[in-house]
Amino acid sequence: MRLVVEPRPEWRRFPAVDMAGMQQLEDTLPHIRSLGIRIMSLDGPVAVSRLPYADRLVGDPDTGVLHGGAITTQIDNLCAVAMHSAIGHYVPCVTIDLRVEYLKPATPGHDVIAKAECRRVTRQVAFISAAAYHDENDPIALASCTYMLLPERESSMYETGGKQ
Amino acid sequence: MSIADAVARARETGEYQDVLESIPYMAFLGLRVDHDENGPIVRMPGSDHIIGNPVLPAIHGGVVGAFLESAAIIHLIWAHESRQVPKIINLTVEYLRSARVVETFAQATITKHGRRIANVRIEAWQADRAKPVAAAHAHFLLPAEED
Repeated sequence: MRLVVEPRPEWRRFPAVDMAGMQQLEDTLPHIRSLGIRIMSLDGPVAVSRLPYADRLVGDPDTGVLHGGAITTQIDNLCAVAMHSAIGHYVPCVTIDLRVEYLKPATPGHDVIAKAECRRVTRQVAFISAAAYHDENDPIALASCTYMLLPERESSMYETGGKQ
Repeated sequence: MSIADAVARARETGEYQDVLESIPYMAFLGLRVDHDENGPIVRMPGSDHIIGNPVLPAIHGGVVGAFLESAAIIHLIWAHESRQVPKIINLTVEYLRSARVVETFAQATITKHGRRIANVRIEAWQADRAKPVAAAHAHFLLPAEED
């Protein structure tokens, strides 16, 4: 069942989330830009992104399989995107825990799609689950991620991301 | 250089930088490897392209995970003298402090080394080793024993 979050008063002072603002925020993150990660869709608590295959992201030169870390980065980033989208505002946050299970190697030469879904948001903590795949029915990796919300913190990054 | 060649040479010289360089994503992150009496210490320079939060600024949480995984892989290749990259099964990262965009270090310890599976614990720190910025535990599938 899809999560519906009622925005708390302390979240409403942060700009509202939309697709254009989210992609613009992503473009300000140097490592996300250098991996070439793009948000493909944003729908309530669910977000999807694409990591283009690149030789420099290979973890095993004998096989050409991507390093798990590139997928970890895609998932960590997308979990934050899904959380912001669920909340509807760019609330400052930090990752406190990330678990990734690598079910099978990514296929060399193929882009990796990730889909994250925010499962629950409390006043201070958000829980997100995610999968990475070429074919959604045959996942490469499954993940769960926990974020701590910091609504008391000012953050110009989120101002920029939301306003323009 | 292939992994097998790099490992063969590292066994003779005790220098694992070539092994690391032969793994593209580790080279992409700019990783370096040093040693102490407990094995390899992997080092990641602070650079703009690993930033995840430009306001704090802080290293991207995913990069911290990738860095910890890389330190585990280098440690396993060193300890196991493997000529293949061990395959990661799972990784759990605990983020303990905000990772500033400065030089960061990581060292792995093997908590159990079975025939097929290795359990690894990894810690990352910056200026003060007593204050780790992140810790992880991971399972790896080891390459079959070579003759």
